Amino acid sequence: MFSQYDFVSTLTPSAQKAAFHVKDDKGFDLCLKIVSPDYDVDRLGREIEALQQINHPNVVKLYEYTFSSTPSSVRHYLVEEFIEGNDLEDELQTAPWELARIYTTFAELADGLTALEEIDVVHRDLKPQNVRIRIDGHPVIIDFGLARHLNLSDLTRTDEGAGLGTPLYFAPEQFLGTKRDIDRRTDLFAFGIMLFQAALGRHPFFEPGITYPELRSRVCENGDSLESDDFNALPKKLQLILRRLLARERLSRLGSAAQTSALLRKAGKTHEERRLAPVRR
Amino acid sequence: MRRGVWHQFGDRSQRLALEQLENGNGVGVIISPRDLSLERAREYAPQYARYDAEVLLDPQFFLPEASVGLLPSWPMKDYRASVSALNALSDQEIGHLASVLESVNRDLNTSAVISPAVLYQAGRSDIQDLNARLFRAAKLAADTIGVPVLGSAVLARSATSSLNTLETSLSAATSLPADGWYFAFEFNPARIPHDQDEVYRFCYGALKLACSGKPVLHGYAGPVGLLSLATGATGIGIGHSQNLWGFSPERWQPSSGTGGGGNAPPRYFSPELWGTIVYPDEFARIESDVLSRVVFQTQYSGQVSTNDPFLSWSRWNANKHLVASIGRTLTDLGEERSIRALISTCRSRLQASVALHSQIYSAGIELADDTARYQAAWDVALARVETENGNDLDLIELMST
Repeated sequence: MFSQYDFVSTLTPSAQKAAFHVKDDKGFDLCLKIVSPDYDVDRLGREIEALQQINHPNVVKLYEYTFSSTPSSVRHYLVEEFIEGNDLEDELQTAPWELARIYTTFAELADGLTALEEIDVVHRDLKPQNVRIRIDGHPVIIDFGLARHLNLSDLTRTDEGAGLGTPLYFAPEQFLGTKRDIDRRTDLFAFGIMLFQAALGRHPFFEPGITYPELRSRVCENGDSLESDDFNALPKKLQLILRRLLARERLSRLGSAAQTSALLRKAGKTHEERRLAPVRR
Repeated sequence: MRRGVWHQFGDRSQRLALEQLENGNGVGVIISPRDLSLERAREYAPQYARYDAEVLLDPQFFLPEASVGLLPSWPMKDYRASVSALNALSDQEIGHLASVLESVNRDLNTSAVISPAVLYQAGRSDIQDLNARLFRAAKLAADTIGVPVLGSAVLARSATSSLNTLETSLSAATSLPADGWYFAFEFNPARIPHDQDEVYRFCYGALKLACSGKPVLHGYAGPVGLLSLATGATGIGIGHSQNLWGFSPERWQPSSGTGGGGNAPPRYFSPELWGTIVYPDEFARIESDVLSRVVFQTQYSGQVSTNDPFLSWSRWNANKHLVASIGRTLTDLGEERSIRALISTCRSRLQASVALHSQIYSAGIELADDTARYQAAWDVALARVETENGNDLDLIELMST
């Protein structure tokens, strides 16, 4: 199978997917993902459906989906755009970033999220490992394993499932396990954590050694995570955006990725104007 | 959504709206199926458009199991049923509702589709589920027509009774991917709300919706529109009838009485008082120098003179004067784009009103209808917004720069 592709290298796998850098017969770089046989087929179906609807520079492109079936197992294969560059996780090792880079990168990342919002998809597992930064610096959202169409009939079921995802980037409603409360603002909370990391070089809630209950408590109950000297030294507009993204109540968060993108661009413009303004004596 | 006042239909409003638009008051109309048949709405909608007004249709599903007035004459009538019955609608039936909404909104050439929605109630997750499904129908209709969809955040008293229930209900309403919000808030029964905490909750809700970055149309606003404008609303629904001064579910329940106010004398709305004054009785008792500050002339108040308050004045002209006065004042105030400056201006207006009322009261005149009762409470609520919601105000300022 996939004899048309030449293997180049193994990519960082996720929990349920092996990923490979391959080239097709025309030398085009691609990402081949082999999905674990025990992966939730319904969930995979949603991922594929979501990806196939989107054509946006900040969201990975899905070229092909196929599967093989034997009496003992079913395997699913995805062929996606290969994003040459690094995971955001690697790039965050150099944080704090310069402000201009923060505004530009995260405004584009919000544009990618907007593309998801426009088809009513919540990613639910947004984290630095699921964002690639192209060599030219543009971010791309990848890996939709937990994506959920908000207009599916299971929208309001409150049974299991709300807690799926990565706790380090969980919003309060994910910790609290109420599936009904998962919406686009859940992704914006994770986005806010990543933005915070890029701005300050640290996680707003997590530090080595803390337990899951402690993390949960900090995210869901403790409101003073943003009261620190380094946070207060950030530009006021960036502080405001972060406060709104990381608000515990969804109602107090920014309303959409599009709004987030617009605000980041405004803040970036102000920063640029100040940077270029002549010094007055 | 255009910024400014929107004429909200009640009984016999369609001609009044037309006349107001003709005179430059208002940017749109909200058609009420309870009060106007589809056939008549089809006649009027193009006339409003001639004055560059936008048209919206409020589907009025608030109490879906009830059907009063002309509601049964509209094609949405087949979907007026209990919450549980509506929740049992199949996807196919939701699709059919979308077709119905598309059809009536196309007929009226609306600038957006307002989503049908049941009144949000505290602790009623079934209503949240239903409103999400009804919203899907509205969004489908809007997408097909190619216009925005407004999510309905119409809150019953159980939802507005505490900040906690308010947040929960608004969080649910705003989880829907709407392009703007149609907001209405049920207060405790009173001619005009005057409880400081309740008024603050209203301001809080309006402000949070505005913080979403999407336009907010405050339906059934009337004089309360001063508060919603100050807290970020884009559009303010006004009407001549006191039934439209605040959202009341009773309007959608079968009524046993005739209503209509009987032969009550006309009330003169004074923007300086931000309240009403009974004409001609109370006019005659107020000293002329105070009265000259109270009077705000519109083309409908020609008979109301500071010199001769005993001329007759029709209730219908009083209604038109009310709509013209509120409309002109809110439109002028809406020119201010800084929300902090706007709050400050509205507070000054309310404080001036309190002072003027005090002057009238000190002369031994107690105005009817408790009309002096709420302005101070509104001022306190807005002051609380300034001190407790600075982060929200910062956000709205940043969005508007």
